[in-house]
Amino acid sequence: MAISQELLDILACPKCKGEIYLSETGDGLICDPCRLKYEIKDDIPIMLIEEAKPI
Amino acid sequence: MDSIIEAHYHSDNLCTTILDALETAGRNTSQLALKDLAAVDQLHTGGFLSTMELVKAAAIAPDSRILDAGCGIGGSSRLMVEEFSCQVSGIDLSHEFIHTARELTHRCSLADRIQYEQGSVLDLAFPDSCFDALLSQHLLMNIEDQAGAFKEFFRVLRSGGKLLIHEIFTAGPGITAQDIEYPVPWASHAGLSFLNTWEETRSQLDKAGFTLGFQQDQSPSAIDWWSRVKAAHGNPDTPRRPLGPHLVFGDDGARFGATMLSNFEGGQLKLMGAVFTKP
Repeated sequence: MAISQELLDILACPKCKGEIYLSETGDGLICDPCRLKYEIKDDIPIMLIEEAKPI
Repeated sequence: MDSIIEAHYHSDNLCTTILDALETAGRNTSQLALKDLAAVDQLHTGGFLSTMELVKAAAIAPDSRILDAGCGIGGSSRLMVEEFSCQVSGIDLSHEFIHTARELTHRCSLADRIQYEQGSVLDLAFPDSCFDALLSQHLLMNIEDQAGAFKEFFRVLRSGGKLLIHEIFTAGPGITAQDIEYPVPWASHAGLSFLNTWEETRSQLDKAGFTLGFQQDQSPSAIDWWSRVKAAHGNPDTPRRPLGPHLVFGDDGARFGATMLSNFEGGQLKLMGAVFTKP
C-alpha cells in the first residue's frame, strides 16, 4: 500500500495551499515556497504544519 | 491543543487490537464487509443509519468527491463509498486512527476510492474548491477555533458544494462544559470539550458564507441510541463482547452509554443533522 498517485494529485501544502511534490527519496512531500517537507510515515502523509521539517 | 486532542484518541496498536478482536468474533479479517466493522467503526450517535439519512438529505450524486473531516478509523468514509459510490478523502489528527482507517479500508477492498492523510481541519492540505461535499460528524466538540475550521470548509468546497453537519451541541446558552457528565467519547474531562449551542454554530456558519438548507433536531433518537449502547456495553455484570467501543476508547468506552444517556435525557446535550450549501 504505497502512497497513491491519486492522493498526491489532490494534496496541497496546508500552509500556503500551493502545489507540493514527492521528494526524490519518497520520504516526504515538499513545498518549495514554504521550504517545508511533510514527512510520510507508514505510507501516510503527515500534513501538519507544526510537524513539517524545514528544508 | 492538537497534541492533547491526539493524545485523547491515542491507543497503542489500535489496528492490531481491532483485527485480533474481529478474529475472536469469527470474522474473516482478510476480506471484511462493512457490517463486520459496525460495532467498532460506527460509534457516533445514531450509527450508520444517521450518516445514510444525512447523505440522502444532501442529495449527494454518485462519484462526488467528499472530505470526511475527522474521519477517525474511517467508518463513515467506507459507508459513503459503498452505499453512495462517492470518492472520499479522510483526514484525522491521529496517526493511529489514519493507519487503522487505511488498513481496514484495504481489507474491505475499498482502497481504490478512499485516500487518507494525517491533517488538521484548521489548515486543510487541499486546494480551493476541490470537494463536492464535506462531512463534519462528531468533530466540532474537539475544535476550539470552530470559526477557523468553517473558513477552511468553505474554502475547499466548490460553489454549490454541501457541508453535512452531524454534531452534538449544548442544549442552551447557559450550559457549559462543566455541566456535562464525563467521560464522553470526545473528552475525559471538561478541558477537552468545546461544545457550542446550535444557534452559535449556525451563526458562525452564516458568517463563513454558508446557506442553511436541511436541519433536524435528532436529540430524541440520540436518547434511543445511547440507551441501546448502555444496554449492550454498559453492564459490568455481563461479559464484555469482543467487539465494542472499548477497542477504540479503552475502559471508558463501557461508560459512554450511561453518561451520554444522562446528558441527553437531562437536557444538557442536543444532536443536530443539517446540510449547508456554499453559494
